[in-house]
Amino acid sequence: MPERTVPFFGGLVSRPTTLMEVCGTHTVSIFRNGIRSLLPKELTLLSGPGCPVCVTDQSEIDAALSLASLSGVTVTTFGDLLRVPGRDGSLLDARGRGADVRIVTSASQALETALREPEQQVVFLAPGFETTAPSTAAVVLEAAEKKATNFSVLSLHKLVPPVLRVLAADPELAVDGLLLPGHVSVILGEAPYSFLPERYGIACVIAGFEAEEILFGLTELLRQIHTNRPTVRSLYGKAVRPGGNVRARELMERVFLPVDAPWRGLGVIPSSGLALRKEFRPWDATQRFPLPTIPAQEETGCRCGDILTGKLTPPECPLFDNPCTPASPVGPCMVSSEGSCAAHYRYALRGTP
Amino acid sequence: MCLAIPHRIVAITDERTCRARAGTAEVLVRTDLLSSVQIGDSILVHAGFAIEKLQEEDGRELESLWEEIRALEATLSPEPVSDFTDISPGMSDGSERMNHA
Amino acid sequence: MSRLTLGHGSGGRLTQQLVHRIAGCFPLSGHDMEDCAIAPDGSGATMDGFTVTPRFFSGGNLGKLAVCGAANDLAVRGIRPEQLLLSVIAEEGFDEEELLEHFRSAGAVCGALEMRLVGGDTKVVPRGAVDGLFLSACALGREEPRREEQLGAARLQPGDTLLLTGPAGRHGATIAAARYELNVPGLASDCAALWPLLAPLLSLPGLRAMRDCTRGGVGTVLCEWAESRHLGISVEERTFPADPGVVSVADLLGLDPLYLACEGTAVVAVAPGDAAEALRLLRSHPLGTEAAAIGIVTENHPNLVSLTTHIGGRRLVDMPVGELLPRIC
Repeated sequence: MPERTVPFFGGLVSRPTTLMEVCGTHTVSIFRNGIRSLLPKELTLLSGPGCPVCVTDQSEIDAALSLASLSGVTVTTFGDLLRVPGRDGSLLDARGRGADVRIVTSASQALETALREPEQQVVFLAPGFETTAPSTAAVVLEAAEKKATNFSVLSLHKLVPPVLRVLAADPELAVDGLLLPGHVSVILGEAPYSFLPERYGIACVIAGFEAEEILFGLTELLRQIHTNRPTVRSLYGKAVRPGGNVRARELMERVFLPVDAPWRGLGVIPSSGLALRKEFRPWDATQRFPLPTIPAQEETGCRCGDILTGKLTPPECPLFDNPCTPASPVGPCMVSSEGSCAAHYRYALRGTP
Repeated sequence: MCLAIPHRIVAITDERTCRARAGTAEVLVRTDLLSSVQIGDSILVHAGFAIEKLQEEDGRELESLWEEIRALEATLSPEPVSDFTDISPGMSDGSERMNHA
Repeated sequence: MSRLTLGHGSGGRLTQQLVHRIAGCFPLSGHDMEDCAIAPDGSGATMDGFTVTPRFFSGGNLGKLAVCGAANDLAVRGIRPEQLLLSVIAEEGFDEEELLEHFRSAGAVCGALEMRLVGGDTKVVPRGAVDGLFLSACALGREEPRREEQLGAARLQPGDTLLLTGPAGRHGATIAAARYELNVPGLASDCAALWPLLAPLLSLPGLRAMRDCTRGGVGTVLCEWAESRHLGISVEERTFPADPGVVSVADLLGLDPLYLACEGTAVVAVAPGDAAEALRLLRSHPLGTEAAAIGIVTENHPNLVSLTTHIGGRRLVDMPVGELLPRIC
């Protein structure tokens, strides 16, 4: 990281400009570092659909809840998924009602739980983008190798390029530049994003997660916009190889198959999810358990799709504050504690604009 | 979206596991996603799996980009560009902007 | 009918709301509802329930935690903890040697404080009715010295300096490390009795309020103070004492040290004229060597806690909603 010898943003923002960070961890870092308070007025920074946990659809949580309600079933997953609501509450609520829901910090801990407790059926609820899916794949292969018959995976994995394609194709989306997800890019490399500058003229930067790295990334986006030469530029070379992590992608492709998937607040996006391939059916929770046919998510009236793309501000959503609140969120912008709606709610609640 | 933290490998446990340190914490990390690792490697870890080896950044490339931005800015603002204190708005300004996001 | 979740017991916003609903069931209740009640004659009482998994952790155990927690609720109000009542609820089959181990630790804290065990209650319940061992501790004491105006959030004034007696989040990080199987050499709970550290401050005329930051951490205490007095609080990130182990655990699990529990760390509000002396007194005690001034009370942004980050940005510190969960995102 070069030393900061001039202020970021300087005179680069000559007209109203909208940038979007597409990564929940960037969103958190931007929030924790108070970066928004440093942005010039003409610069708007939107939070995109970059939290894979928050975009887990209500119907997917409903499936997880029905698994958790089966006797003899232990549900394991990452901590952040526990708060995400389904139609009938969250996994935290299910745990409160006596379901065996356990937090793991790695897919491999889920398999270890299964190997340690052979009498339990252990299901790993697997959310996450391309960063996380290879680890699930590795664990499915390990389960197959160890013939762990009491372990299965409910894949909630989502893919980033398809959702970016949907966003970019939206004629109403007025985003000049994207801060691309750094850790998804570790797996994917730079190539999958090339359509963004080439076809849509959107500036793109892959950046790290320290405050200075984010500020540098935003500055580079402004430079591309100012010079009108959008491209995909990586400023995160210490972690991102131009071709990504080939081995991780091979594992992912060996175990999973792209399928259409529902995104909370955005609807079904073609080929944006991952299902286990046929040969791994014994470890596929949707094959092992009689899951009810989950109906498509009910019309909740949630406008997160419009909030993510900057078409609406949170209070303009009819659900904002009633019934959608941080304690009982409906859409991903409220589910994520740093999401646009949750952030807005905190200020409104505390009596300040 | 994905929290990943740099670790340094302190021991290779078996063909798919190592012990690695992040700050003062020492944890078991899976190395399935990397083709080879050795003690002393700096790795980026997400959800218990190493997703990449970290390498020294090419400082020259970033520095030259930085120079480019600096030169560009110089052509834009004849007066010295504002510093953080000038562009840092008060609490209410900041919160307002967050609301729009 | 809504059900309780662990979030209702984690000390943040949900707990605050539940306590209000509980107090609403009583025709008569204290208006401030602090952790500790002080009678007009200067005697004080507090009561606190304790459960922790694991029961033994680096820096303490459940028994030590119970006594320190109850004694600290008195100490931060300027009350010397003198007497203790302990209620035990143990699960059928619980190892008696372990039980006594907890009480030996509790006894050692009492000995150092010259605090006397004066009563209690013991119940053993059928297997499964509790998870091992629950302790409730009631501590009694007397204001020392007697003061006309009680210490507490009601005394906070704009301009007051806020001191933190040590790094935030050591207890919470220690427990999280144990639960999520992180080996963090050097990390230990801050679990300690605060009376010896805080007592020297009691002679300062400018001392306004003190709070031990338990569940909910330093961030929650600051929010509660700002809201209860309708004042703003501004803190500066780079002034916070930091523990490398806490930072590591927080980074790995995606948690914010500001919300991780403490069990022997307090926030102290003091008039600006007495701040330097208060800091000197704190730093001269082994528990307070890392004490630091972290911010001020202000008339700006009433009810809100603002944090200036290391890069000069500003952000809001809000109470956490619900249980702290490790995150991958």
